[in-house]
Amino acid sequence: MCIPMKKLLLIVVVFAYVFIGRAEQIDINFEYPDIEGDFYLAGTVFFPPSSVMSVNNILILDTSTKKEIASKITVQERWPDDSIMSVEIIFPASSQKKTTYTIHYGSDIKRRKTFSEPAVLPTISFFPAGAGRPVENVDISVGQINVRVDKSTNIRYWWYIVPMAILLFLTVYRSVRTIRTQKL
Amino acid sequence: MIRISVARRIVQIICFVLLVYGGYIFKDWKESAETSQQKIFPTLKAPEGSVSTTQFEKGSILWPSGATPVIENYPPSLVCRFNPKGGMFKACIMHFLSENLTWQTSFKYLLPYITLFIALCFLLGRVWCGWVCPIGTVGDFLTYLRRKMNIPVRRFPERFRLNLSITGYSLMVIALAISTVIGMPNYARFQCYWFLPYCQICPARLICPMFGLIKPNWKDFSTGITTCFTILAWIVLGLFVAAFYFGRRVWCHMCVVGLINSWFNKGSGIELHKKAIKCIKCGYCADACPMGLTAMYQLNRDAIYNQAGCIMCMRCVEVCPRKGCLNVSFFGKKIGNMQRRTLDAKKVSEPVRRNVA
Repeated sequence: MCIPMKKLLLIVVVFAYVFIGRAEQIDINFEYPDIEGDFYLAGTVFFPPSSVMSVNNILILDTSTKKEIASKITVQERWPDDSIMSVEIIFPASSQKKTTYTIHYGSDIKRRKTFSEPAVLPTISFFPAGAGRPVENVDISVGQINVRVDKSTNIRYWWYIVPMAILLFLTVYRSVRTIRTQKL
Repeated sequence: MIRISVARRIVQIICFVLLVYGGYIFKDWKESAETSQQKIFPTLKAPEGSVSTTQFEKGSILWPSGATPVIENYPPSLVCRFNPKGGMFKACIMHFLSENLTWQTSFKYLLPYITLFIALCFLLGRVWCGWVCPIGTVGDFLTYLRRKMNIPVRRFPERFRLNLSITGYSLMVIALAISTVIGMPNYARFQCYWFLPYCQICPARLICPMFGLIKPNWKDFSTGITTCFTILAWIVLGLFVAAFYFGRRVWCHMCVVGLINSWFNKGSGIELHKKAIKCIKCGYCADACPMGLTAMYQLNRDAIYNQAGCIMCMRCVEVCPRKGCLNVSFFGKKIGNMQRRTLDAKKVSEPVRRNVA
């Protein structure tokens, strides 16, 4: 492969990474409760269309340590293109170590820490800042409309007129004959 | 040779089991049949989002069964849509007409079904009423109970029977008119109350589910209209049961399916022939007729006796003491010797003489 081609390929890969493999961030707001020890933070987060296809593309990050927090993420609604519209997120936090958390999402995000059965702990609601809504316009694809005109059935079922007419004629003919025999 | 009344009872029981319990018996077969019959008969469905499909879910007044039948077709008999597990056939012709008028189904899609219905009527006429109809079989069983209780049968006058038929036709016209009106877009909201108006008062809707030990929806007092329908259904069911303790096959005079079927009876393939020269006016034929018809007795000439009200049970042929006086033929071909009674005609049926004379 010649050098210009390699450069071109590199440019394409870089652009593809920039435009396709994007990661976004949502800050979450909550108030630390007046309790000692651990608790859960839970809330619903909305995402723009076509931005998140799987719950594995969403993760919670501790802003002080920059480490991922184990989370349980459940899909609530989806957009018509099957991308995720909203999820319910629940993750553990501690009142002893006061920090802030951010939600990261996008195609280049890979969640590694999950938990499925949370322990019995108090749950505090959080509110996402900006709610993951895009500033620019939102284009929603609802798929294409297919119209099928089935011309074959138009004639196919009308043909039943012929046997029906024959049967009705025979019925009337025989009825007239029966009535005549009774009136003779 | 097997007696015709015995043969009829056997056929009635077989048909009853097939029509009512067909959904259980042919459970596996019906799933494969659903796709194969699409080529000949188009699928009739309610329009998308129709109130008629969204309002009548399981447990509502018009959905005690909810299962699909084995064969999606409409024979000329009171085959109820509300049979347990859907039964053998889809529904009766009144159900078919009502729902498709409401759904405004194109006539071309109804043609195959109507053609088959006419063909079956043309072949056998009201044999469908006398030999096949499950509600008729229930009625005959009630008549059997009446006989066991020694309650004497009452012969209703001709005018009373005529009034019953007029009532049946009136109900038919009203039900079809309502079905047509609620199919119009401006009145579609009324479908949640007025859909299948005849079915809502038909005794078959309440009787058929019970044979599958399914509890039919006996009452719906949610609105004024459903309350009226509930009370009407009770009244009609009460009259249906009570009528069999006074006469035989009283319901069949006003049954809408029977009335439609009767249009084809005079031209059907099954014919009853009378040879007047052999008739001794004993009156047994009129006495035995479960529909209370006396025209066979009154006929004074050789004729094809196919009355609109005759359910072709052939009791008259069976009880006629004169060989060759009454015959049954299928498109002109005589069907065996069906007579049972051979005694001399000196013993004349007195009740008939009193009524007819």
